[in-house]
Amino acid sequence: MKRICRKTRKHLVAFQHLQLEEEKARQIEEHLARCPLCKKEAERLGRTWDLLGSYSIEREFPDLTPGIFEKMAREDKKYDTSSLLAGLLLRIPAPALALLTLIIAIPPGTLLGKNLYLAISTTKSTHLQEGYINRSAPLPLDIFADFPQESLGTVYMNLVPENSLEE
Amino acid sequence: MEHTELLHEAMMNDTRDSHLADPDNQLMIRVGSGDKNAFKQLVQRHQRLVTGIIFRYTGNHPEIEDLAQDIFLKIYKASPRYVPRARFKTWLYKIVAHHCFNYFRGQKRRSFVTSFNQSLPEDDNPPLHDAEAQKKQPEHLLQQQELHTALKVALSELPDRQRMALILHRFEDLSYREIASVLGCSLSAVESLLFRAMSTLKEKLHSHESR
Repeated sequence: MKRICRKTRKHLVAFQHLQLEEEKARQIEEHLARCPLCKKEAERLGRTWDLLGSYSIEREFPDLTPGIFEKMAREDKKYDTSSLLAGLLLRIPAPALALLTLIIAIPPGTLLGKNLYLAISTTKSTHLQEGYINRSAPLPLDIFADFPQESLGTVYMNLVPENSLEE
Repeated sequence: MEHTELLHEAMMNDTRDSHLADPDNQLMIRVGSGDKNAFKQLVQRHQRLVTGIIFRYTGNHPEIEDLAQDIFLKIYKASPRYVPRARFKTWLYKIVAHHCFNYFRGQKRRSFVTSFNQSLPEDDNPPLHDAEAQKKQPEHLLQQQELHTALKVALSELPDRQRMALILHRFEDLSYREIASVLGCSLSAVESLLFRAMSTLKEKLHSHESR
């Protein structure tokens, strides 16, 4: 197949449906006038186009509105029941939501805190009894003495009363 | 420069006004404000168009009505945000095309063809081996039905976008420019889609051409 024929055939459908620019359409028209093969191809495409036109919708569809409104009602109902809580939560303003969270969180928080305190103090007293923690040991404040002037260590040393260091 | 800008703005306003004059757009604005009667009118005006496209696209799929209802539900949900920037129909075609693409994207080609063949109702596709039925019906009627089935099969075997482009052009009279807007592609891409679709159909329907 010649290059010009290939190029023409690519535009044949658009040419037949009057979708080409004037200049391009004129070129194709001229080519069809002198090329019997492309003319035959155009005729075949035309017949296919006509055949396609006979593809009718032989089925009648009922009115869609009752079904659509039924679906809409079903969706509304679903929203009403399942997402009522979510909807309510979305409508409550942020401070109220924070307060609500706090109220909900206080009882379990207190309970948890108490239990933790009990657990820690029990462990501490066990350790004290076993001699792991020596409460009478002095704080090692001397380590701050080597710090440069006006450093945090010096400031701390100045703040601490002398007698407490002696102790 | 200023004059050009003013002219452009005036043109834009004219286009917007012309779209606002579109009765479907006016209905959509009413639907957006919660008018269910307007929605009913809109459905009744376009249900044939929507079911027609789905019918041809799917080849008489058993869920055509369900699909069409879902499309109108989508339109109803989108109505509060709807801005009439173009003809309502162009927007509707876009929604129909994309809904069809998405619905059938998940299905494998084979399963689609199977469901397509199963979907042919009995009265639509009479058993050709039934000699008595053949005698009762005139020959041309049988040929018509054969052609109808051949067209359905040939169309169903086209790739999605080619099929949709062809349906919109052949049965909905949309120009290449409008199809490009619906499918979100260039004019040359539409030309290519239609050229390929027609070439395939020409080969597949070759035996029916001479009749």
